[in-house]
Amino acid sequence: MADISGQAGVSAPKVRIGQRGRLADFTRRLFREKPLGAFGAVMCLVFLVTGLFADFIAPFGYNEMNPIDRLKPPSVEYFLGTDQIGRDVFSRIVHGARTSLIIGFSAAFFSIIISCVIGITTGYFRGKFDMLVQRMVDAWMSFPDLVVVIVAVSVFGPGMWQVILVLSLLYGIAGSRIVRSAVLTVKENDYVHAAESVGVSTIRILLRHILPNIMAPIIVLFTTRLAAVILVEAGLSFLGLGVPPPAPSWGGMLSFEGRSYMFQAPWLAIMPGLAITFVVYNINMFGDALRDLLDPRMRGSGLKQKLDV
Amino acid sequence: MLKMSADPLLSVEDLRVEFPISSGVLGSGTAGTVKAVDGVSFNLISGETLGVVGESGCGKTTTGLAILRMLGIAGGKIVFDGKDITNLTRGQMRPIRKKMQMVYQDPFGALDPRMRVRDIIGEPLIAHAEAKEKAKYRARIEELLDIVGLDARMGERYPHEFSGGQRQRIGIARALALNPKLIICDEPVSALDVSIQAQIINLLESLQKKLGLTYIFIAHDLSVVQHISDRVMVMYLGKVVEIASHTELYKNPKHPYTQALLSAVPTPSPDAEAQREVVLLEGEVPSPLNPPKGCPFHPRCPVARPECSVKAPEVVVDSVGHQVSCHLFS
Repeated sequence: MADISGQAGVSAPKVRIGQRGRLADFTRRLFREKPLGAFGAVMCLVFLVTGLFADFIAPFGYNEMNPIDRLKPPSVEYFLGTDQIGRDVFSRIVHGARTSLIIGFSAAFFSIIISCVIGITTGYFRGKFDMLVQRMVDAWMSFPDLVVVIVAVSVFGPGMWQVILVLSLLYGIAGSRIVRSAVLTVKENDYVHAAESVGVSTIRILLRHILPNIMAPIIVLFTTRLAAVILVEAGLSFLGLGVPPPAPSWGGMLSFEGRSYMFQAPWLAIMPGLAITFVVYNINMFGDALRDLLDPRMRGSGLKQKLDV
Repeated sequence: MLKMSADPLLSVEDLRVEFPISSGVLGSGTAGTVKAVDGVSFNLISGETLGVVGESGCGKTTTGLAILRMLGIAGGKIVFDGKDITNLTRGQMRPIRKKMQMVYQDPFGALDPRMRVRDIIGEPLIAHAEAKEKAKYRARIEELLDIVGLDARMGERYPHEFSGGQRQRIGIARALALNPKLIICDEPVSALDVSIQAQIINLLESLQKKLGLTYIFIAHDLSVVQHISDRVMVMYLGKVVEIASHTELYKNPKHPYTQALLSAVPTPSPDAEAQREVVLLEGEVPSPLNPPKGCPFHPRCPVARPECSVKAPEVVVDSVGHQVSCHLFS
């Protein structure tokens, strides 16, 4: 549909799709063509809102103990039950969403920045610089991730920002390959040559021509990174390398109370596990839909211009 | 035909461009070099159009890019507007880039899909800090759109909203933004429909008259080149085989390769078409990685002689300025 109205806009100016219409247009396509992706998008939004407004949504504080109500199964009062010291599991999951949200978005964001800096410079300049940096990237990627994380945590101590730093570096450096390969194809376009031959400065070429034209893979990379980081953070917290207790974290909840009371109070393991699975699954679904909608040359018009702001 | 000024706007002497074929794990070894442009020399007088023709891979585009200093030059000399630009650095080249622009072959690839047309056209102005005053900048863009026959309002749109011919007009407007002296047109019409081709060619011609432009017009279509060029340069495997004024070249092609090219041009009249003598070339263009000894054309030449495979022919210029590199004339 977007195609047709966009084409018509050329000959009949009255049908012009306004700038404001592009995002709406994309949303419409998302819901029509990718219902599962749209569901994922809505769930991501729910996750976002939960994390942002955890204080208002959670009926109890994340560390608020009611010793009388220990290991209570899900009920009206305790939506998802309570743990061994009487903390409300629902409240802890809601607050855990905030932890996942902060770590997920920060690490995904910084890793994309790192990927872009490395990928765009090496891809655009090529030559010896590219050679050297890419061999360093190879060397970095040949370290097992977990070893890097354990070393970093033992040096800097456990904590949210340490996890963000390490995950940003890990994923940022590995992701530079994807950005670089996108740059390699974009920079061979005549419009880049045209800018070069006119004498446009290199920094302007990188920011005005290269970056906007690799936005589609970057957005998709961001969603995959977001899901991966949330999963890895849960894993690290499970191993005791992530966010230290009593701060709520889904991985930590699985590990500390979940593992110890798995048989007496299965909801302690099931609920945070479900939360992780659900969020990661939905982010992936949304990411897949984004990739499908963004990749095949946008089918004429679309939200291209809207997204690169 | 155009002998207005004695000093040429552009003079290219023995230009050579080579691409190394790298080998080895680290790309350190060299398996050989492709001589993409091998000793090309020509002069360009201000206000004329030089057509450049030849098969794909003969070095037409490479020559154009080398003149713009977009490629490393292996040897030779380029003098533009009285200044030797062969060895200028990036920074030294910048002010000169204002005077030489390029129009690209692919109207779809030459415009950034994420930029509005007015930003595309205005980019050269911004790059050379000629966009200081907003009002003047806007007026200039509208003027440029008008010059190439587009509506000023179209500047608000994105390239994908235009047809191929319109996009090529946008590309031309961008090339004109800085009032250049030389425009290198790299097959500007070969991606367009025939009816649109004529429009673009006519636009280029009228712009040349209006603005006193000098063109290097690269094409593989001889009939297009015949229409627009004052002189025509025929290239084969990185070398110039013949240069002549367009009337002279079409009337009296000397080099066997030029004759073959000309005979391959279809004629619109069926009667003439039936009588047309076609010189069919045999074989393929040899690999520029390993060009034949002597005259590069000899393996395919219908009138090759023994000496053709031994030594390269000299450049011969006759009294009307018809230049040819062939043993038949030396």
